[in-house]
Amino acid sequence: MDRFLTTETRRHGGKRNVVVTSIAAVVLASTFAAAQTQSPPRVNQNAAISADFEKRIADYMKLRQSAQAGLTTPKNTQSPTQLTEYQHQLADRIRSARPQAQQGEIFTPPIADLFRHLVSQAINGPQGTRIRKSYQRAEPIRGVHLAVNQAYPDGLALQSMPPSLLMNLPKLPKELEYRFVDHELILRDIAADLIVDFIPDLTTPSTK
Amino acid sequence: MIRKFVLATLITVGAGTLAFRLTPSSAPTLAQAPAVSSSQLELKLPLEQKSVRFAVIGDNGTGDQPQYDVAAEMEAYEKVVHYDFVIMMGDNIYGGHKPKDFERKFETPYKPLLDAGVKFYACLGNHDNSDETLYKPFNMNGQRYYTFKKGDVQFFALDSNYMDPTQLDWVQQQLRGSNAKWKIAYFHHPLYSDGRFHGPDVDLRNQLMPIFEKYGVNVVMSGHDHVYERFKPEGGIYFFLVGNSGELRYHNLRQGSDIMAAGFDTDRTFMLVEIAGDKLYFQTISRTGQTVDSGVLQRQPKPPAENTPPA
Repeated sequence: MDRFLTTETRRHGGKRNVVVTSIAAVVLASTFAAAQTQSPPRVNQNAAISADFEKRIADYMKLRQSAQAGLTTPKNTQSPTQLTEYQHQLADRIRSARPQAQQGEIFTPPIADLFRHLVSQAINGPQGTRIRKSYQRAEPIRGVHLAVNQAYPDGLALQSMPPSLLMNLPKLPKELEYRFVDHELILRDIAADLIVDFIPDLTTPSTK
Repeated sequence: MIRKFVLATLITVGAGTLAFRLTPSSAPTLAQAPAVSSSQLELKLPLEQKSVRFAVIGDNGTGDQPQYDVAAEMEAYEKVVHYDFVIMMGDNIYGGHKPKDFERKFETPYKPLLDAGVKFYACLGNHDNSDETLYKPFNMNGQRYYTFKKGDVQFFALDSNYMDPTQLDWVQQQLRGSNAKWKIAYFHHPLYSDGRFHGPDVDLRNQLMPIFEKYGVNVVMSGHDHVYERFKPEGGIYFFLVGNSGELRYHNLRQGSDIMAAGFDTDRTFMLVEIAGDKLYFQTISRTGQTVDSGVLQRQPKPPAENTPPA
């Protein structure tokens, strides 16, 4: 998983893999004034938060892999029934494997704060206007509150994510994705269509 | 034309000229197209030998009567044009994604085309569920974004809902590695649009246009705004918006646009495309069989970057 890259870093195409900026550097740059009074521990703290997030994601993926064992993905099926059954079975197995899961298990308070900072940094940065326009034109979801281990509601559109905003968030395994739902940032298991965790009361691109 | 079909059905069903599927009055009905010839349809395509022919639909999966009407027009034209496949601009299945939804919003309206062996290549819209990638009739092979080739044409079906760095890298690599004569990218959210409800996705445009221009994409097609629009070339690329093959936002196009070459926002449409050599012929047909736009586009010269070896 590559770390938290800035939008500018991402935009430089082929050099992307060379110029890898860690979360520590991002936060150091954006909170320079604060760092002068708080000194290095703040930077180290954010690096630790970043590592903690990656570990929690890795732990979820291990759990997911176990839950998926023996379940065959219906690749290229003609049967929508098979698709629905697979989705429900996978979701049920994941739920059973983490029955006590609740908000904050992955997005702990420090991780949630870091994400709030990264989202804010993106929507207030040089690409901010484009991000807000992109967000507004993609039918933002309003008035919906989701819970951990809940299925994403059938028939509810998925909020498209502005590319420049995604560039400012940590990369996820292909099985997971970020989505905004009203003022929450959700972590969604794609194949299981399941809410893994969410950050409440986030300043979204529509809030500003 | 659909009205004509329905009327003709009432008159000639006994003679077996037309088959009419009996359904409950609330369910949409598919008027099956009769055997037709090019002289009966207003055809703007040359139908050259060995050309690549396909249809384009977007925002179609409502399961309502207008979608079925468009599907019947598509069937009528397929009998004459013999297009091999259909590319879908997303919002393939609106609302619920239960098995009955797949049936009512895709399998039933397009059954005659599916039975004729016409393939569908979907991309995901914001109303689609990721499980559609595993649905064989959509030919996505479990991928959110993918590429396929037909003759001299390579298609790049992207997921504009989630254009993350991984996908951007993939797009760049695939385009750089392609030696196709024609490169056509399609995805749900339009980079250009005069639709008043949504409009263009400027953040997406900011990311994709440099890549498309550098690697010589010829044509970009999208949906999302429920209108039809063709644009004057932007960055040397031809842009189309086909977002009204099921849904419609009546009179939603901005007037006096500098970028619009043609627009239609008073009924549903689908588009036919034929690519022969360096020419792309297109014809956009309304739900009632009216040709609302047509023309021919010349293939653009390849940009210098295409001759640059991969890094």
